[in-house]
Amino acid sequence: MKRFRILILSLAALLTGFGAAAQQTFTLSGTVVDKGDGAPVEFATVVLSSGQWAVCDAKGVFIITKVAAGKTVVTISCVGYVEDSREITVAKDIRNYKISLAQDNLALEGAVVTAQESSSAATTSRTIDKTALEHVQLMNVSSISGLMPGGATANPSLTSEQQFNIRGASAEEGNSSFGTAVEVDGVRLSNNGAFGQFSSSSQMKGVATNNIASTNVESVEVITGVPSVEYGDMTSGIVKINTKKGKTPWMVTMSTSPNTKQVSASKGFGLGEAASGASRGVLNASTEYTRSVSEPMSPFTAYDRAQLSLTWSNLSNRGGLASTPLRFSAGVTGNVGGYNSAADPDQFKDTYTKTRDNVIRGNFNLNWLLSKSWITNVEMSGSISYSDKFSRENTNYSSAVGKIELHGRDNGYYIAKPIEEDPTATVVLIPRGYWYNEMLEDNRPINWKLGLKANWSKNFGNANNKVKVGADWTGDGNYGRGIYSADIATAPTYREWLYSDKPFMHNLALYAEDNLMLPIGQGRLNLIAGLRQDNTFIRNSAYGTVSSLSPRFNVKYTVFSEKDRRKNFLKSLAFRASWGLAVKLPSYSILYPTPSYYDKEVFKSTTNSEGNYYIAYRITPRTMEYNSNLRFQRNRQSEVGVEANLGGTKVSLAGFYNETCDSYIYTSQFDPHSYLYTPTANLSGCAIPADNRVFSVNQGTGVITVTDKTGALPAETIAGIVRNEFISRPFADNAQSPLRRYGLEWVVDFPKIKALNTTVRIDGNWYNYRAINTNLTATYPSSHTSSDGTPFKYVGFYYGNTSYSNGRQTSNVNTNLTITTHIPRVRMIFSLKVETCLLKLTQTLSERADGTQRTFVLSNRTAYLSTTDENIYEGEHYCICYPDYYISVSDPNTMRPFLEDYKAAVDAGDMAKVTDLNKLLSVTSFTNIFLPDYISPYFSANISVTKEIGDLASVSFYANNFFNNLSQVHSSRSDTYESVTSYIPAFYYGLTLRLKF
Amino acid sequence: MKKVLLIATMVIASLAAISCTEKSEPQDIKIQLMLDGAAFAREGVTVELTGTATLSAETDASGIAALTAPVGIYDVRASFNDGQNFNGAATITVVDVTLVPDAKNEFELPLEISASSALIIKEVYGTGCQKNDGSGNYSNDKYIILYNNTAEEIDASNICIGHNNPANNYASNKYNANGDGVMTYFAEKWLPCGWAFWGFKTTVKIAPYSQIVIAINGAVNHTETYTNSVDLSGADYVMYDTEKFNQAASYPAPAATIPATNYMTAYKYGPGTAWTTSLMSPGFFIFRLPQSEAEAFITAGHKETDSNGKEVTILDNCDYTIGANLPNAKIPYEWVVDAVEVFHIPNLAKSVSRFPSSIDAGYIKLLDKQGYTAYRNVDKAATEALPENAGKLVYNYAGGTTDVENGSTDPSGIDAEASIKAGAHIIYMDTNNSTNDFHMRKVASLKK
Repeated sequence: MKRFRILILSLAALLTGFGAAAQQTFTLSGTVVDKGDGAPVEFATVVLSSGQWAVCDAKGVFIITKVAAGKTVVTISCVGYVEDSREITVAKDIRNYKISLAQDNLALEGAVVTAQESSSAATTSRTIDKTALEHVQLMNVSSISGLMPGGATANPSLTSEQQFNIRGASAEEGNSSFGTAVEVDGVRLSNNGAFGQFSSSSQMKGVATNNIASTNVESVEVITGVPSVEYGDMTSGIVKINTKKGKTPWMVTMSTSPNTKQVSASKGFGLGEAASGASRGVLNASTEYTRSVSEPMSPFTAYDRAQLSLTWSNLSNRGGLASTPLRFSAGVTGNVGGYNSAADPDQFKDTYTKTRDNVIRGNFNLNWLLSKSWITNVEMSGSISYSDKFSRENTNYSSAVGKIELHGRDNGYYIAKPIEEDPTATVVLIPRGYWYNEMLEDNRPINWKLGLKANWSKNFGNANNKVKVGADWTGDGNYGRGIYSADIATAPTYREWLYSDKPFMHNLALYAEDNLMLPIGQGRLNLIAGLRQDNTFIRNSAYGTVSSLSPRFNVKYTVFSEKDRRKNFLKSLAFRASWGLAVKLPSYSILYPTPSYYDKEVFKSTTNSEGNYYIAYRITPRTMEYNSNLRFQRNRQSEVGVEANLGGTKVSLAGFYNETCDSYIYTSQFDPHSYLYTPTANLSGCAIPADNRVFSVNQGTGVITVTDKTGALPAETIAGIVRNEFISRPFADNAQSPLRRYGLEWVVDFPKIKALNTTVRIDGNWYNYRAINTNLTATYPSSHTSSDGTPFKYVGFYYGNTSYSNGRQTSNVNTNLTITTHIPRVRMIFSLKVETCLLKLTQTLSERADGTQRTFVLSNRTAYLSTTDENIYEGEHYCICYPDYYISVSDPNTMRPFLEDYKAAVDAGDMAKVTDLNKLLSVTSFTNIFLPDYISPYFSANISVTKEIGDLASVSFYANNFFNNLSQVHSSRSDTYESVTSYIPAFYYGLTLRLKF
Repeated sequence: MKKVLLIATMVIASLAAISCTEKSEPQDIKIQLMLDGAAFAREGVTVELTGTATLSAETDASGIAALTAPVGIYDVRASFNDGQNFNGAATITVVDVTLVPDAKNEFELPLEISASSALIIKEVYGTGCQKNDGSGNYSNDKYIILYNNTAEEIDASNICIGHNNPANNYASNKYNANGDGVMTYFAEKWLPCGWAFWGFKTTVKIAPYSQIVIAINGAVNHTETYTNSVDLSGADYVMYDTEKFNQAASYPAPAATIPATNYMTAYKYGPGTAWTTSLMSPGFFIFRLPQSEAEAFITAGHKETDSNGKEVTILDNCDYTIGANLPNAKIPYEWVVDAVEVFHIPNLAKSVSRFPSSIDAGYIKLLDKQGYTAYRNVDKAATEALPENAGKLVYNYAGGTTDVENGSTDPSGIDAEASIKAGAHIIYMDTNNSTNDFHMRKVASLKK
């Protein structure tokens, strides 16, 4: 409640910070025409910096009323044309303002094939436009990561899931890809509703981008800095994908590469006018079929993507809406496809994996331009995304004896029953032989969003202030049945787990942001302050309601602008700084870990001549504790940047420092567990002949009883032994120690060498990552046996990971040189990109939060007691890590100091205990584990060429690693050489033909 | 430093040798038999070279084999029996003496003497067979046969079965630190026994010229499902200790015909739910260790003062060279009764023997997953010399695999299994050199 008050007060402060004094307004109207033939450009959009806008009619005419006096930036855009942006001063009504838009093709000067920095943004934001996307021949939108500063190209693949990973890497802690938000036309692609993706061995992955049709992408904006507060449920950044909208000719694309074939067609249909003269709007239709195979030499296991996208947009600006036009759009996208290995002759007959990747996404957007003194416009938007990721896996099995499978979920002892007697038994015995079984996972996540946003823009002299207030209501859930088998009689061990049983996760976000632009001398100061509050509701669950606040601030001071200093060496200069918090909501994998069961074999008879036997299991459901203390993962992001134009050389530098707190992790606790074990050898005294024995087990006590099926002999009870051990209980938790990422990104665009029609760009990054696990983490080495032959007795509690290492740090310097030759006269663009890794450092860490060691140098590898204070990071040694504490089956509630007891056992010569405790130790197998590992520099070079053939066609070709670099790199840690192919893409190529008519 | 120089010299010589292969003429070389550091004058011993070329020559009266060999790297072996087994193995590099200053192609072949065993490993079936449905190989049907090769009863109660670790001898081996095939444990005279070994629960007596079949996995009839496999429901003993190794597929309930007292006990000191042995190049060995001493052997330790002047406890019989969490028990040479080194045929060039010459100076070449088995050759002379065998020996053995590349057969020509069936007593070869003692049999002996 307190947080609500803070938010309301903040909103009030923002809204009342600048008085709504009366302001003089004017009308801006004009026409937008084609620069080439002077034809009107229908559906061109004209947007002012105040947020006011207009859409051109069939005559190219636009009109915006109530434009505040003063300077404003007019941005005109239309699909197929180069966006134009200009600053004008409004001091009176402006009529017949004429704007010429140039068609976007290679006949124009200045085409770019790299990510472009957004000069107007107060944080790091880069856009990749259509020319660059076509030049790199995008197959999977995640490939644009290679166009970021220092980005490394990866060969396109659709047969494995691809994700975005902003300012992070897949091998790192902190779930950076999970924290990267992806939106397509405002539709958030979320895998919050996905189950089962989170395990202790891998971080939570972000949403896969495989099902996004790449040919329909008009541009991609990547915000790596501190974004506006209207964006939530993310911690690493946002990727905004915009599809083609507006009236366009037919566009047909055909692409081929060794693994992938693609064909697509799209058109923006103008729907004409109604009898009343009102526009019926534009309908954009796009269809694409892509097939990607995992192995070109055996093109059978494949991922297919068949997609149809329809978007209708229109404008109401007649009658009562003449001065307050309403723009609306609605879209629907359907994708059918997925992964299928059924036709692969390399698979064993009738075995396959099929995973659907069917999606339907819908969205609408209403933008009502009110242009009132107290509100400029209001936007309402909604979206829904429903995925069908149903998967089927057919596996063949065989067994020389009856095979045991467990399906029961109730605690107790059970004897396996032959499947023909009771296929639904808790423990079943499948007869020996050969069989197939198909396992299915019905996984159907859904997420939706409803948003309302109001904007208010006001000029105060030369200052402009914009306020944004909004609310988003989102929901995530899953309609899937979960995992089940097509035939229980042949199913492997599994337990039903209904995804659809889980309550939906709702999130209500409220946000407010103020954006102030103040002219100062020749420059201007842009201040942005925003606050977002997320309120997450999960009914009927331990998680209840969770609130989180995300304040964000951006400041940018533009000292000089280029337009005022064309003759100066220092043509432009701007500084910026940002700080903000962002919160990532958990996924269902985190909220609802899949229940697991501990199945302990407690008795096994001998095998009869039919290959069958009696076997008893103790099933213990692991208590799934929903962690009510779970905190939502958040990121503290800081960034500074400078942009300058030095004699025509554009330089952009951005330094960032990100601290991810409360990362979602998966960990385990261990509970004492007892069971009655009956050794097979104890049957040796049984008087009943082996072939006549019928076994039963007491479900509560586990006592085995043998009866004589002939009735000749009395039943016998077989003696058992009580065994004590520990069993794990997994749960989702937060990392206690923040992990840090920091670095520097640079982009240097040199002036064009006109004689060669060539531009040179150097971009790169210096990226550092450091994470230390400080959680007290337990392990029970259940595959070990105590020295007395009984189940292992001890659980160890370690500072950080349960091994000698509890962290890692990396440092990379990647720099790319891009040479682009663009010859407008022949409408051709050629680029060479040399990707170089100058520094690649990885170091395994082991330390506590205060920097002290948790792993120690061993003078003798088999001594197991460290007797030296030597630094593990210096020199080569075998090293050892001890648990801080341990518990034993005899006293599971007392955490004993490990090293103290270990030394006592050594001193007492209790070698049995020493040998057992040794199994909790973690000793390095190499002496160089903690040495920094520098990989020697390496490079890869890619070429791309695009040629337009008139206005009808264009052809693009690329070759990645076209030098086919197969050299070796040196590892300083192991002093060995390895192939560079682990670090750079293999030689690869592709060709695309585009037709426009 | 000496080792570094040695390695450097070898590398330079190897490079010189290899770089000159195409233009160098074959070189005259001499190989001197050595025993206990001195030249061993023994005439008529066959010295075999494999590697760049396959060559052999007999030694002269001085114990020197002289031959002409192309430049290159060779494995050199020599074995003979003179009441005792004499075995020698070494790696040599033949260089072009016109190009390498001061080089002499004169080498030494150290011999080691070992005694034959009464108890031997007769057969190792451990690399699997093909399933009926063509879906791959099946390997939970492994077994080993121990055989009394004498006319006296043997008490095998204290026999334990272990396997050499690393499991695959063609993979990198931290014991082969210098890359010269001389394992670091050779100097300390122990064998690394991977993560557990097995012992008998009861008294085990093996009658003369008799055997015991020990199921490593699954003492059941595997042929009901996998016709290429074997019926182990009649095994004499089974490795079955489900509190220590409980992986269901590896340890099905034994056939009722096997008494529980014949379930062997695992002495486990490493992790795992199964006693995993190599499917390509297993290195089984048997050794004597009383069951009552096995647990104490694993945990034995002593205190000593380390380099920092502090007192620490050292485990006497565990070694962690392979992995910190994958201990090997150090089995002294003198405990070892028999061993068989298997080289995986597709990886012959990379394989390095894990046993010293005194234990197994050779290896049996085996192809995995086809139901082939490592079966011991018959000592023809000794077997034929047994008077009770008159008329019982079956010849024209056709169970070998000479039709398979790198396959082999029993040179004695005696069909041991058929002869046993006919009532013969078989004495198997035991020169402590598996190259001479074993062949790759087409099917497991339990099948016929």
